[in-house]
Amino acid sequence: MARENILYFDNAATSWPKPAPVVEEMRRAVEEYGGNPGRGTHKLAIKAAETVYQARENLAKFFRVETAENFIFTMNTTYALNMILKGLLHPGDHVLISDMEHNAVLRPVEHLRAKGEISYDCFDALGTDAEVLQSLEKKIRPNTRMVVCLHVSNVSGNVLPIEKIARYCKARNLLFVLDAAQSAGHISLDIGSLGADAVAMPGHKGLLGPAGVGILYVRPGLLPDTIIEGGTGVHSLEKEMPGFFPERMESGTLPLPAIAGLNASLGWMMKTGVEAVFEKERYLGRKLAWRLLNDDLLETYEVTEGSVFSVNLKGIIPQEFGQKLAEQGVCVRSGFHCAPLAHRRIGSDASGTVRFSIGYFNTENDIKKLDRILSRVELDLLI
Amino acid sequence: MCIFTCRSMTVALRAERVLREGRISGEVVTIEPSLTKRGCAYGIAVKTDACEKTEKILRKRHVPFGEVIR
Repeated sequence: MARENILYFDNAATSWPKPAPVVEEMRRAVEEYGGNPGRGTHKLAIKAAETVYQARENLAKFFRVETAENFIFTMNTTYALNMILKGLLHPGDHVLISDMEHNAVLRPVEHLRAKGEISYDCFDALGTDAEVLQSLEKKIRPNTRMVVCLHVSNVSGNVLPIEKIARYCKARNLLFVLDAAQSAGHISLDIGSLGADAVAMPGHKGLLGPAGVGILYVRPGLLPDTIIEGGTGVHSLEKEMPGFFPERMESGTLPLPAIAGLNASLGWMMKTGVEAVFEKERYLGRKLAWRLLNDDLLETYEVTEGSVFSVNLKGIIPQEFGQKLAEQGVCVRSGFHCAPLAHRRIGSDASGTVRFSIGYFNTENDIKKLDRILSRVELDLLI
Repeated sequence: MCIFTCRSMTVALRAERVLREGRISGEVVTIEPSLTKRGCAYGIAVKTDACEKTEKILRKRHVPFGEVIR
C-alpha cells in the first residue's frame, strides 16, 4: 500500500508508521539473535536477554523509575490491567473506576463483581479537578481498596488529574492503578514521583513500538497474586511462582522481536524527547480541533487540547461516515472504541462516534488534505 | 574464578552492568542445579582477584545475590 495515499488518523488504536530503527531492530532480533531470553547462557540467549533487560532499563529511564525489574512485559495493556486488578483485589473489596474507562478496566471489574467477589462504582472523570476529587470522595466506602482510572480518554482525549488522584489515594491508603494506554509516549509521565501502585501501558501506541508487547509497572514492595503461572526460567524445581519481579509475572517465552522493537522505539523517543512529541501533537491537535469545531455539519464531543477527537456527521451513523473516509484513504475509527462508559458520559452512546487521533508522524499537510476530503465526504453523504 | 549466584537472569544482567560501571568484567553463567536445589539459576562470574570488590559493589548497589562459589 502506498504511504502517500494514506492519511493516518488512527493513532489511538495503534501508532503508524513506526520509526525506522524499530523495524530494523525487529529484523535483527529475528535474523541475528533470536534466542530465548532468560532461558540459558548461549550467545543467542544472552543477547536476547540483554535486549530485554535493556528495554526494561530504557523504560525505567523514560518513566524516571529506579528499578528496571519492576517493569513487567505483558501481551498488551488489557492483559496488564487484568493481571494487576485480579492480582490485587480480594473478595469483599470495593473499587472506584472513572466513568470514562475502557472495557480493559470495566470488564475485569464487572467480571469480578458478577462472580460476587467485589463491588465497584464509577466516579465522575470530567469537570474541574476539584469536582473529580469531590466525586471520588462521595463514592468512597469503608471497604474501598482501589481506584483505577485512565490518564487520557481514548474517546475524547480528556486528561484526568492523575497527580491529584494519586495524592488522594495515598492519603486514604487506597491502591491507585493507572491506565496509561493513551498517554505513555504522548505526555511526559514521571511514574517515579507519581506515586501510583501500578501503571499499565501499551508498547504499540504512543511509545511507537510494535504490537505484541504491553507493559505493567508495579511499585516495589507490592506483590500481586499471579493469574498466569508457568515456566519462568528460574527456580524450575519449585511448584510455586517466584516471589520476585519480573519473573513472577512473566510466565512463558517473551516476545523478543516485539520487545526489541520497543527497545528501539524507546531509544528513538528519548533521542527525540517526549516534550517535542507532545508539542508537535498538540500543535497539530489544535489545527484539527479548529477544523472540526468550525464545521456546522459536525457534532463534536468534549474537544480538548489533546490529540484525540470524537465527532459525528449530523444525521449519519459513524460507521457510514468512517467508511466513506476510509474509501478516500483516511484511516479513522468509528463506533464505540471499546469504551461504552465514556460514550454514555459524553452523550454519544446511541451509535458511538468517529474518532480522529493524531500521532507524531502526522504533518500539517495531513490536516490540510483531511480538510479537503472531509468537505467532499460530507457533501457526498448529506446531499 | 568466583561466581555470585543470582535468583534470575534479570538480576545477573543487572549485576553485570553494575560491575561494568565499577570496571569489573563479569560473565553471566548458568549455575548447577545441585548448588541451588531450586532448579535453573544464573550467576555472575568474575576473576578471583575481583571477588571482594565485586561483593562490595553488589551490596552497595543493592543487587541481591545468594551463595558465592569460589
